[in-house]
Amino acid sequence: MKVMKMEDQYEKISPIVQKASELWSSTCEETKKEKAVKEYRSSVTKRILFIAICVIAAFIVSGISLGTGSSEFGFIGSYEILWNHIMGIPQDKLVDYIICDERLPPIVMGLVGGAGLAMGGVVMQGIFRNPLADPYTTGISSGAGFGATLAVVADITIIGGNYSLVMNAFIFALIPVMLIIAVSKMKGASPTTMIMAGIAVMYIFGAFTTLFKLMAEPNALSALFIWQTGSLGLVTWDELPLIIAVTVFGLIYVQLYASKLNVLATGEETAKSMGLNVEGITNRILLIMTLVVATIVSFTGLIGFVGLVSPHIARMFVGADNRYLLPASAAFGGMLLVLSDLIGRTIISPSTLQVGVIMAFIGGPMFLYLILRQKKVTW
Amino acid sequence: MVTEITFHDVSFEYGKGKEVLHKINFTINEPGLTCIIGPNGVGKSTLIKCINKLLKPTSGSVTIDGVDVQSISQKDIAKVISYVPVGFSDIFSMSVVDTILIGRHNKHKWKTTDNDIVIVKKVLEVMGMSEYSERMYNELSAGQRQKINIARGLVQETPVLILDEPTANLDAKHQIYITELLRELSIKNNLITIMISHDLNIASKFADTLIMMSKPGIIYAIGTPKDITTSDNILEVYGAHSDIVEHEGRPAVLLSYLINDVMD
Amino acid sequence: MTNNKVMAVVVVALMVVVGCMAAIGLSITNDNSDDSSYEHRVTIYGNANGDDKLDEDDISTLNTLITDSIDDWGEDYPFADANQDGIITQDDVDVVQKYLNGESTRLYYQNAFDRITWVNYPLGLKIGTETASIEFLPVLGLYDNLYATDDNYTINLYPDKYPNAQDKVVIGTSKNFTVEQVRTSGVETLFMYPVHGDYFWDKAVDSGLADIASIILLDTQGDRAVGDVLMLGIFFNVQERAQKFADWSDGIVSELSVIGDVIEKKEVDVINAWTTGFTKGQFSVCNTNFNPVGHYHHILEFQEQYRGSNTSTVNFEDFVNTATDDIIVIMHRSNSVSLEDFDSYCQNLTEQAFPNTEQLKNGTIYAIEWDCSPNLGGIAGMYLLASYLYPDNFDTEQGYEYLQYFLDNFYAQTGLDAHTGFFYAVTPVE
Repeated sequence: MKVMKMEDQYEKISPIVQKASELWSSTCEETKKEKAVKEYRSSVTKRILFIAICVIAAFIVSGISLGTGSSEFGFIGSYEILWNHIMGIPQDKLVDYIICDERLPPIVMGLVGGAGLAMGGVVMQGIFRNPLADPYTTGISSGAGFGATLAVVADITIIGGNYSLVMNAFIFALIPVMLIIAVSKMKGASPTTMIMAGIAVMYIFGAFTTLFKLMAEPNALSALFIWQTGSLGLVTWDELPLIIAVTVFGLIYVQLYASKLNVLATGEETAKSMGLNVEGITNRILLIMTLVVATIVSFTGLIGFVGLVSPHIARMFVGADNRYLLPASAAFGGMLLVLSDLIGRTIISPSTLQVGVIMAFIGGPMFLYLILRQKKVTW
Repeated sequence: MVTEITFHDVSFEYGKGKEVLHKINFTINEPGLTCIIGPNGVGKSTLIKCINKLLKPTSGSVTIDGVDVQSISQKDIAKVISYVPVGFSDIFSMSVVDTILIGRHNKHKWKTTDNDIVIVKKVLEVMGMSEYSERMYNELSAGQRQKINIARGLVQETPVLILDEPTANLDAKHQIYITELLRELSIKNNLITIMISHDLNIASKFADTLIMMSKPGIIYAIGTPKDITTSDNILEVYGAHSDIVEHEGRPAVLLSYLINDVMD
Repeated sequence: MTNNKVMAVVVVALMVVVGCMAAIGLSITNDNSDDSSYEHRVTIYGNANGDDKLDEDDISTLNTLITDSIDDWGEDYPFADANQDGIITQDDVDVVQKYLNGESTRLYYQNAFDRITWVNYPLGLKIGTETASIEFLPVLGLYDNLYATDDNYTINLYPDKYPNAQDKVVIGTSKNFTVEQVRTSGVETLFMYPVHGDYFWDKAVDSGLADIASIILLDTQGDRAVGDVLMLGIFFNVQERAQKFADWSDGIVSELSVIGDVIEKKEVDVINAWTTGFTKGQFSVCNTNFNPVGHYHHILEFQEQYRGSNTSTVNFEDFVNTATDDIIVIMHRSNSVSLEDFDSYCQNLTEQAFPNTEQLKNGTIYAIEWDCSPNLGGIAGMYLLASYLYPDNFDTEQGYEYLQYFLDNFYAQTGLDAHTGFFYAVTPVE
C-alpha cells in the first residue's frame, strides 16, 4: 500500500479557473437567481399548457364524437338526451340507449385506452431507450391478445373467476415482456433488433390466433375478427369500471416514478451510480404497464401505434422530461384514439372503418419515418 | 466529506478466467485530483467502477472511510459518489437545463426547487455554456455534450467525483480548463476527484496524484507526477521512448520516434 | 435474472402455449357429420304439436295440455310455452289465437344459436338484410319488400343476381351493426346471418329495439334453412309459399334418402374452388363442420381425415395420393364470368388444378356453383351431383328439372336456364 503525499501547493492557477471556482462556491445574486428561476418556470408553464391543451382537445373531440351520428336528433339533441339521462328524466329507451350505451362507451374507452397505451409507449421508450418501442411493436399487445383469445374462444384460462379474461391476457403478455428484456440485454442489440423481436412475437401469436379462427364457434369468431384490427365498440358499461380503475391506477403509479424514469433514461450505469435500483424499478414499472396494456387489449383488441405516436409528438412540445411527458402523451393518446374512432365511423358512413385501421394509417407512416430516421444520432 | 478511499488487494475477473485487475492496492486520503493513466485495456474503467459498486471485485475489497463499499446500499453510495461515464448514452434529448437537472435527482426527488435551478445555472456559467441552457442536448457538439455530462456530475455535490475520460472529446483549451478546474474545485471544496486520462501531459500538469496502471491490470506506480512521469516508466508501461522536461513546475512529456521493430 | 434464465422461462412459457393449442385442437374436433336430423324444424313457441305449422291444431294441443294438467310437457311438447312464462295456460292459447286472427302479439322462437328470441307479429314489411340473407326473400315472394341492405359490395358486383338491390338504404357494416344505424335506416324487420354471431340480438334487447323492430337470425345453408323458410312463412303469413318450398325440398331429400339406406354412401372429397391456392397446388378441403357443406351428408361421406373442423389446407401431392375417385369442387362464379361461360370456366380451372390426375383423366370431377350448393337451391345441386355419383339411381335431367323449378319459383333473377351456369361435369382430359 502506497501512501500519498500532497505535491507542492498550487503555485500557479489560470485566472479563468480561479474565477470559475469562486463562482461555484459563491451564492448567487438575488436578481440573477430570480431571472434563472423565472426562465425555468416559464418553460415548465409552457409544458403544462400543452398538457392542458391536449386534455381540452381530448374533451372537445369526445364532445364532437358524442354528438355525431346518423340519428335525427342531431348534435344538440344528443346532449339533451344525455342531460335527461343524468337528471333521471324519463325518455325514449331506444334513444337513451343510442347515446348512453352505444356512443358513450367507445368514447370513454378511447380516452382511457389511448391514455394507457400512450403511457405504455412512454415507459417502453424510456426504459429500453428505444424510440421505436411501444406495446404493439414489441409484441406485448399480441401476447395479451392471445391470452384474451384463449379465454374467450376456448374458455382456457390460467386463473379462473371474474377477472380471468384480463388475468389471462396479462400472463400471456408477460411472455413478450420477458423476451424483450432478454433481447435488450444482448450485447450489440440495437433498437431495431428489439423491434424485430417484437414483430416476430406478433407474428407468432398472430399465427396462433389465426389457428383459433379455424376452430372457433361462429359467435366468438365474429368478435375475434373485429378485435384483431382493434375496435372500441365491443366494450360495455359493465366492463368499463375495471378498465378505468386499472388504467388510472397505472397512470398514477408510473407518474410517481416519473423522475426516476428520467434518471433511467441516462443509461443503466449512470442511473445505478445515482442510487437507483435499476432492475427493481424497471421490473415494477414494466409489470404495471403490462397490466394496463393487457386490460385495455382484452377489450379493444389490437390497436397499434398509439403508444408509438403519442410520446413522439408530445416530446416535440414538452421535451423528454417524463414528469411532463407522461401526462402529455396520455392526454394526446386519449384524444388521438377518440379522434380515430370518430373518423372511422364517419368517413365512409354508414359503413364503419375500425379504429385499428385508422390508427394503422396514421401510425404506420410515422413508424416508417422513425425507422428511417434511426440512422441519425440521438433524438 | 470523505477522507479515505482504499483498495485492498482488489482483483476483478469478467468471468471465464479473464482477469482484468490483479491485486490492486492503494489509498487516497487527501482531497485533490487523482488521475489514472495507462494504456488501453489495462482496466482503468473497471477499477473506478469498483469504487461506486457498479462492479463487484472478485476478491479483495474497496473501503470508503474504512467501510466496505459492498456493504453500503447503492442509494447511500450515490449520496457520496458522483459518476460521469464515458460516452453519451442519452437517447432522448432534453434541453441542457433538464439534462443537468437530472443530476439533482437525489437532492430533490420530485419537485425541482429554486435552489436546483440556481445551481444548474451556476454550473453552466462555470462550464462557459450559459447561452446554451435552452438548447437541446443532441444539438450540441461532442465536446459541449461532454461538458454537460461533467456538469451533471458536479451538481450532485458529492464529496467524491469519479470521471471516466471526461476530456476525451474536448479541444486543447478545454482539456486544460476542465482538468485544472476539477483540481481547483477538489482542493477548495475538499473533494476527492478521480479521473481517467489519456493525456500524459495534462494529467502530469494538474494532478495531485498519478496512478499509473499497466498490463496485466496492476498498478505499476503511484505517486506525484514528479515521481511517476519518468522516461523509464513511460517506456515500461507504454512501450514508448520519451524525454521529460520540466515546464511550469511540472514534468512534461516529449514523445520520440518508435525504436522497436514490433508493436506488442 | 441472467439472460439464459430469462430465455428459458420464455421457452417454457411458449411450450405451455403450444400445449394449450394441442389440447384445444384435440378437444374442439367434434364430428358433426350426422347432425342431419333436427327434431323440430319450426322452432316457434306456440307450435305445441311440433309440426310445420302454427294453426288450430296447436290450440287443440294446448287445450289438452291444460285440461289434462300435464306438468312434464317440457320433453314431449318443447314448443308449447308460447309466452315463455314457464307454464301452459290460457295465455299461451291466446298468443296462438291472436296470431291466427292477425292481431299483434309477440312470437318467441329459437334461433340458429338455440337462443330464445322473438319477433313482433305482424312483422313490418320494410325488410333489411345482410347480403347473405337476401335469398330468403324471393322464396317467400317478398323480394319487392327489400328495403335496406348492408354495405357488402357483392350486391353491386352481381347486379343480375340481386336485381334492384343496388340503391336500397344502406344500414352499415354487417359485422357490427349499431342500434343507431338500424334505427336510422327505418328497417322494420332485420334479417341477420349466423356467420357474424348473435351479437346484435343482445343490443336490440337492451336498447328496446327488439320491441319495435323484429330481428331475425336465419341460416340459408344446410338443412336448417328449410325450417327457417317455414318459420318465415309463418311470421309473414305466406305459409303457402313457404310450404311450396318445403315440399320441393322435402321431395328431393326423400328421393335422396336411399343413399346410405339402400345404396352405400361413397366417400367423396369436396374442395373450395374459389381460394387462390386452388390452381396453385394448395387445396382448401371442406370438412363436415364447414357450414356451406351442410347439405352434402345426404349424398356422401367425408373422408376420415376431413371430418370435423372447418377446412383443411392440403398440398397437391398429399391430396392426389389420398383423394377419392370422385371430387366435387364448389365454384363461386366471379362476376366477370357469364353464365354461358361457366362450363369453360370450370373446365379451365380444374385442368389447372388437377393436371395429370386420375380424376381428370376419368372425368370424375364435378363443379357446382355456389347458388345451388350450399344456398337455398342446394338440395337440387345435391341431386345433380348424386346423378353422377350414383348414376344407376338418379337421373341428371331430373336434377336439372328440380333446379329449374327452384330457379323459376324461388330465385330473384328471372329467365334462367338451369343447364347454364350452375353445374358442370368436367370433360376428361388425357
